[in-house]
Amino acid sequence: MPRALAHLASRPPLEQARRLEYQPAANARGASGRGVGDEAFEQFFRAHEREIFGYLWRLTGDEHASYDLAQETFVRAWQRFERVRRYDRPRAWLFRVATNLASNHRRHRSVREAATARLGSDSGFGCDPGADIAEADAVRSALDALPMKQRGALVLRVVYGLSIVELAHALGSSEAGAKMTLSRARQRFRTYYTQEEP
Amino acid sequence: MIPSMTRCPERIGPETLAAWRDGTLSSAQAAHLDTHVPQCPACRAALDASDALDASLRRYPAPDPDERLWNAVRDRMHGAQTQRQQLQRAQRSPRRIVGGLGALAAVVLLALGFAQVLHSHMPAGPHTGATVTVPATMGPLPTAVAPSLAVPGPRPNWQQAQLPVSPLSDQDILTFAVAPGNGESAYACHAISDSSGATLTFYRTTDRALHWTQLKQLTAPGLDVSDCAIQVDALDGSRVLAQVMGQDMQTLAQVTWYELSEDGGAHWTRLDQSAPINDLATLNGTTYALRQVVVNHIVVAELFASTDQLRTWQRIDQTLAGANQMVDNFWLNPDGELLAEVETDSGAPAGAAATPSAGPSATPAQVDLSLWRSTDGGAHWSLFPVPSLSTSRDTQLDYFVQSPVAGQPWHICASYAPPGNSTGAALVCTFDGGRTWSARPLVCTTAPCTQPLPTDQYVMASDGAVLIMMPAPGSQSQLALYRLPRGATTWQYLGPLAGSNAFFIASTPAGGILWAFAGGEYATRLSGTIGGHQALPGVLATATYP
Repeated sequence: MPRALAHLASRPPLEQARRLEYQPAANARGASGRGVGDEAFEQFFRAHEREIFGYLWRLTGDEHASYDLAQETFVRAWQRFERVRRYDRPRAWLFRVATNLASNHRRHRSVREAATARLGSDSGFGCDPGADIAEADAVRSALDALPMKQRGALVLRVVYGLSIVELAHALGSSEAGAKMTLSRARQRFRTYYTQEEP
Repeated sequence: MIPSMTRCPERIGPETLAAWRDGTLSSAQAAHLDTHVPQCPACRAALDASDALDASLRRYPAPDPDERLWNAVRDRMHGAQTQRQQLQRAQRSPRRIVGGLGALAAVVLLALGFAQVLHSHMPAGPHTGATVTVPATMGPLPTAVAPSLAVPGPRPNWQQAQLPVSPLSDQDILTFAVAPGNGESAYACHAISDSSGATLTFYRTTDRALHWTQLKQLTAPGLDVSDCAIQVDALDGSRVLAQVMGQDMQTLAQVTWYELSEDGGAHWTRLDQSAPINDLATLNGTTYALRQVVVNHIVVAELFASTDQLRTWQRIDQTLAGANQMVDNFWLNPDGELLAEVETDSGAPAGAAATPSAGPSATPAQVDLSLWRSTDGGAHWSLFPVPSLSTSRDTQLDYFVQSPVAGQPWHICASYAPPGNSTGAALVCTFDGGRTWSARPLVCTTAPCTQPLPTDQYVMASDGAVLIMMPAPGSQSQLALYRLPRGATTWQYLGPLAGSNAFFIASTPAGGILWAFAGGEYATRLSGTIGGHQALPGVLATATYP
C-alpha cells in the first residue's frame, strides 16, 4: 500500500485513500442526532454557506444548480458532522465534496445566460456596466472551457486562496497532482480568456 | 486588460512564473527565479499579466445564497432523521447483540487493567443477521510496548528505472501499476491531450522498468483526458484495467470508459461501464471489485463479483452493508477467502461519549471499522476478531493487510491514532488470522524517543515486517524508509528515498520488490502517477527488498 508525502503532514479522512473515484462523503449513512449537534451544525453552515455557494456558482454559473449542489454538500456534511467538524481542514473537505458534486452535475441552462443575468444584482466590478459584463462574459467562457477539476483548482487557488496542501485536500489528489491540475488550469484559462478578452 | 508580453531571454514561461508565485517550484528553481525575475522585464510583465488575469477571476461576481438554502438543508436533515429512526428500529436486534459483546469485552479489559482501553470498537453489526456470524469471544488483548528509536538497518540497493515517456511535460499524464506477487512486471498508461483530442498509449515492462514495450495506442478525438488510472488484478497479473476519464471539448460532458486486457496487455477490449471498478481481484474465473453506485442520490461503495470478464456484476455484500455502513476495502487470498473492511458510521449524538458501563445501549464511536471474512464468495460472512483498543471516541483506526499468501492465515496490523498528538497511539498485529494480537512499538526517527510518530501509513511486507515512509533523521523534506521486522522490538532505518515521495512493495515469496517514485498514488492498487509537473520531475527507482 503506497503512501505519498502529503499524508505525512496531517491525517486525511479515511476515504482519501481512494483518489478520484470516491467522494469523501460518499457513504453518507447515519447522521448526527438532534439537539446539541444541530446548533453546532447551523453555526458550521452559516460559517461556510456563502463561500460554498459562491464557489459552486463560479464552477457552474447556474443559480439553480448552485442551490442544489450547495444543499447536497451541506447535507453530506451534516450526515457525518461529528467527523467533519474535527477535520483539520473542514473547509477543504466541503470544497472537495462540492467539486465532486459539480463534476457530476449536468447543466440545465446556458451558463453564459445565467452569468450575465446575475450581474445587475451583485457585481464586484467597477462603474462601467458594459465593460464589466464583457469581462464577466470572458471569465465565464474561459472557466467553462476548463474541465471541472481544473476549474475548481483555479478558483480555489485564486479566489479562495487555498494553499497547495489545502488544494490537494480539496481536489482529493496528491500535492503533485494538485500542482499539475493548477498549472494546466492556469494555462488553459489564459488561452481561452485571451481569446474572449473584452 | 491583459498587458502584452515580451520574451524572456531564458524562455521562462508563464506557467513556471505562476508556479513560482504559487510557491510550487523546487527550491533550486525558486532560488533561481528569485534572482532572475527582478532583473527580467519580460518576466515581470508576464507576472503582471498573470496577476491581471487572477484579478479578473476574483472580480467575477457571485451572488450570496438566501434563506432558501438553509431551509432546504434543514428539511433534508429532518427527513433523514425520520428515516434513520425507522432504520434503527428495524436494526435493533442485531445491534443489541453486538453491543452486549462490546460491553463484555470492556469489562474484561478493565479487569486486565489495560488503562488505554476505554470503549468498544465493535461494529454496529450488519443490517440483517441471517447470514452473518458474530463470534462469541474476542481475541486476547495486547499489552502496550515502548516506542523504538530506529537503528541503522540494511540499505536497499536502489536502481534508477526508466520511464516509458521522458521527459515529462506538465501536459503529460503517466500512470503505472505494478503486478502484485511479481514485482518485476508493471504496466503504464501515458495520455496527452491537445486541441484535437487525446492520445493514450499503454506500455509494459518485465524487468522493473529498465525497458518498456509499447502495447497499444489509441486516439480519442475531441477528448481532454484528465486521468488514465491503471490497475493490475491482485491475484492475476495478466489482467490489467485502465479507467480513462476526461471531458468532451465540445459538450463539456464528463467521459469515462475502461480498457481491459486479460492477456498481459496483448489484446485490449473497451468496456463502457457506468460505475467505477476498483481493486480487482480474480480467482477461479470470478472477479471481485469494489464499485461505486448511487443509492438515494448518495454515492456508496459496494462489493461485486463478475464471472463474465467484468461485463455483468452481482452484488455480494448485502449482508454487510446497511443504511449506515458499507464495505470500503477488501482482500482476496489465493485460497478463496474474502476479507472485507466495513466502515460503520454509527451516528452518535454530539458529546455522548461511550463508557464501558453503559451496557448494550452504550453509544458507540462515531465511525468504526470492522473486518469480516467469507469462504464462500460472500454468501456468508463472519466477524474477524480484532482487539478493542481506543483512547478516545475520535481515535481513528486503520487496518493494514499483508498481500495474502496461499495456505497462510491473514497477517494484519491495526493502527490506532488519536487526533492531534501521539498519546494513546498504538500499533497491534496478528499473524495467526486474528487469534492473537501483539502490540508493536511506534517508531521514533530522532532521539530522545519521547514523541513517537503515530501514523496510519504502514505497509506490510511478505515476511511480516511493517514498513513506513517518514522524514529522514534530522530532515523535514527528505523522506526515508523504516522497517520493523516481524518479531523485532526495534525499528530499522533503511535509508532515504532520494527524490521520491511515494513507495510500494510488491510482495513475492522471495521477499518483494520496492518501487519508489515522485508523484501521486492510488492507495490500494500498487499504482500511481509519476511526475506531471515541471517542479516534480519524473523519478522512478526499484530495489530488492533487503
